[in-house]
Amino acid sequence: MPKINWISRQKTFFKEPHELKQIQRIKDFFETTKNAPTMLLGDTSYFDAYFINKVTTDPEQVLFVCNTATSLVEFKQQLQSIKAKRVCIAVNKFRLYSTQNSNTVNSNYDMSLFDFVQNIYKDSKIDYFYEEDLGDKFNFASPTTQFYIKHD
Amino acid sequence: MQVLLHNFISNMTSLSSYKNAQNSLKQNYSTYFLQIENFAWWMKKRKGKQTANKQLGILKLLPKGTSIWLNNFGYAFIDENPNIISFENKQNKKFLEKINHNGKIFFSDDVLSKTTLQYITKYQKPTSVVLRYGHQYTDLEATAKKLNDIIKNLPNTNIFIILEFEHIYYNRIRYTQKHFTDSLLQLLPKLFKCKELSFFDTLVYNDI
Repeated sequence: MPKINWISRQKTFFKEPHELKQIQRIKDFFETTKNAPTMLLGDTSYFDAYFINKVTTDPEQVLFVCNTATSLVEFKQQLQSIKAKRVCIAVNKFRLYSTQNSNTVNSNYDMSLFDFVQNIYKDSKIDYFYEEDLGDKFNFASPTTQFYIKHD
Repeated sequence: MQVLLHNFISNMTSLSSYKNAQNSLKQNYSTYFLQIENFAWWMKKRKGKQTANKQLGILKLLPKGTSIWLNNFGYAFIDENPNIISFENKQNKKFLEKINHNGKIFFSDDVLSKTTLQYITKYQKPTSVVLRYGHQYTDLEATAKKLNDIIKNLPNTNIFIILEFEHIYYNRIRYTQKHFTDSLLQLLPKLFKCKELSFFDTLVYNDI
């Protein structure tokens, strides 16, 4: 079986041309700035052709797709290292894990995940998308939880 | 600080071309079954193999006799253990019928329903039942309740439950996987114990 990224694999399940919602949302966010210096972090191979001006330092914008098993400690470090005007963080919330209990956080996972990111980007406006349905969508297999941050 | 929260019920108009592109957007997993050819191929080649990796450990633990696998790729292991019988949800019937399974797949509207479980107990008389536990469950209490209901309807058989943490919606910021498993064990009958199958998969099983 050829090795392709998960987004492309999901798309083969449908015959007609289409885009996945969570991916279209990312494209829309960067639509007017896709030629700006962009740093791609994580599972971003699907977006290689979308961004023309890819950089490894001093980005104007960053797309970080977290779709592998990642501890919260790692996740926090990754987020803290991102400095840019526009940031999209797309995470598969089912592949995050913690190494210690933290009873003080909000009992609602989606809310506590938002709090986690907001704590790192304290003074930023965050546009937050998350998936509530648990049974019939792609949320368990791809990064449908998304944070859009602008510092313009 | 300004915060915008969205979910898929209310977020449709928040980004410009996103709204216009709605007709060509996909998100619903169940629509796979409308165009099943590629999905069936993927299920058989990729998922079967992936599942095999974590389930080999279970094959070694099975007692002699009929082993019922509920919505759990049992048909992929019939070569290894001819006593395995698969019960799969009807929605998968269309593509599973393409797989050569020697009549060892049964279909039910809901393989975990009380009726199906009672049918299995009465007519299949299994020595073991293997099931997956994933995205249909949301938290510890709901999980424990559902599993206790299942266990109640499967008396006198060994039960193997694969906790698929990649699918369970529990608060990963608040609790560790181990905490979830330990807490769950306390809510199940005392005979249940656990064994790690892979990083995100833990087996909970009894030994009658």
